[in-house]
Amino acid sequence: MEPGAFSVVSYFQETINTFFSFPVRVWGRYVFLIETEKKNQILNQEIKMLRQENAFLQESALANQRLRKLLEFKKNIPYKLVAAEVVGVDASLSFESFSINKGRNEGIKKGMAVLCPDGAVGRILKEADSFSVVLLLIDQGFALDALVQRTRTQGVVEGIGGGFCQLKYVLGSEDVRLGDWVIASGLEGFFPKGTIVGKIVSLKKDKLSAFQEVIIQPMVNFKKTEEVFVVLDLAL
Amino acid sequence: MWWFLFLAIFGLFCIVIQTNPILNCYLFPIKPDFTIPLTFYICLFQKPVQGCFLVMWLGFLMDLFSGGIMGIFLFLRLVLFCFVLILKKLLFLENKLLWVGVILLLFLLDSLLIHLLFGLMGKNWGTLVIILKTSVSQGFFTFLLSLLVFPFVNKFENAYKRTADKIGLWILIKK
Repeated sequence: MEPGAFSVVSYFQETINTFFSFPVRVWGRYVFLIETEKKNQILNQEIKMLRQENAFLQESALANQRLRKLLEFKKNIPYKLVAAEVVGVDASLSFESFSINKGRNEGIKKGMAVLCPDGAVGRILKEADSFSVVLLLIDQGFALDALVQRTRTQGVVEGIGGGFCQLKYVLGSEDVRLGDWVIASGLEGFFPKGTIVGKIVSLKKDKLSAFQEVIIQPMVNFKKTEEVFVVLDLAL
Repeated sequence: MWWFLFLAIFGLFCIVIQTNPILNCYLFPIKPDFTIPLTFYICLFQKPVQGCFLVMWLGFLMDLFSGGIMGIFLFLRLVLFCFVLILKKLLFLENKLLWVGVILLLFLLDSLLIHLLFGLMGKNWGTLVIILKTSVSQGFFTFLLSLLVFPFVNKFENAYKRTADKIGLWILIKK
């Protein structure tokens, strides 16, 4: 008897509850939503602000990491260096260069070597009082005396465009392998000896030619370089 | 005179935009060259002598902001300027669709001339096919960006003319 009565009562109770809960639900889900929408807007704005703040913090953290790396690099190199920021890229598609925010006022002169912790970047092409243009390793006008680190094979690094360089005048009989590191020889007087230029990524030996075709991939990502060092004096 | 100065400053502004590293890394898929459409614009709407000086200024700025030999872009922009001058006499350059074609043609000519100069200097600047592909895509992209930039020049020109007219009227009334 009791369970039967209970089920009848519960049906009744459910009907009453549904009847009364309807306006409450209408209020809560539709009328009250106006307030929720306002809150939603505020929260969305807060999210946007926090996202922006997060981006700023991430940027500062990355800058901090980068600067720390630069500082360590500067400590380890026993030469007089000037830190500079990249402020512009080449105006044309035909040449590979970028501008830095340091110039004659800081003692920068034409021909000086430009480095970053990853390796050689290029050399100063022209300088103004507080502005200089750096000719990159990958430009066709660039040339640097270099060595293959493993075998001490000497050659001249020249830019060939497309993000690569070539090690010229390497005799066909020389033992040069893929993956060998190419470093600056220091003979031309501006680049410190041992500065990393890049890694050998392609080799071609032609029977008709006395020299091998050695293609190097520079270690520096020129598109992502933001800070560089100019070597002022190798004598220190 | 003021209009001449405005175009000179506008040229500098365009070069600064196209050399900005942030814009080049994240915004532009290929480096635009605003100096070519600007050369075309100057050639169409400026007196030849004034235009010649403006184009020389643009070329000088390009030389200054690039790693090439000093004077190479000055020479190239002057060649393009002369080319448009000749074209202006041969063709009826009123149709704006024709402008797009001429600008693309200027990009192609510029790349071919660079290729030729590099060849003369004993350097290799990619194959002809790559050069043509690059110059066409650069030209098209620059044209799209020019649609955003050049209306400002037109608006400024209209405002400048209106102000000049007003000043002229005012001087006449005063007299």
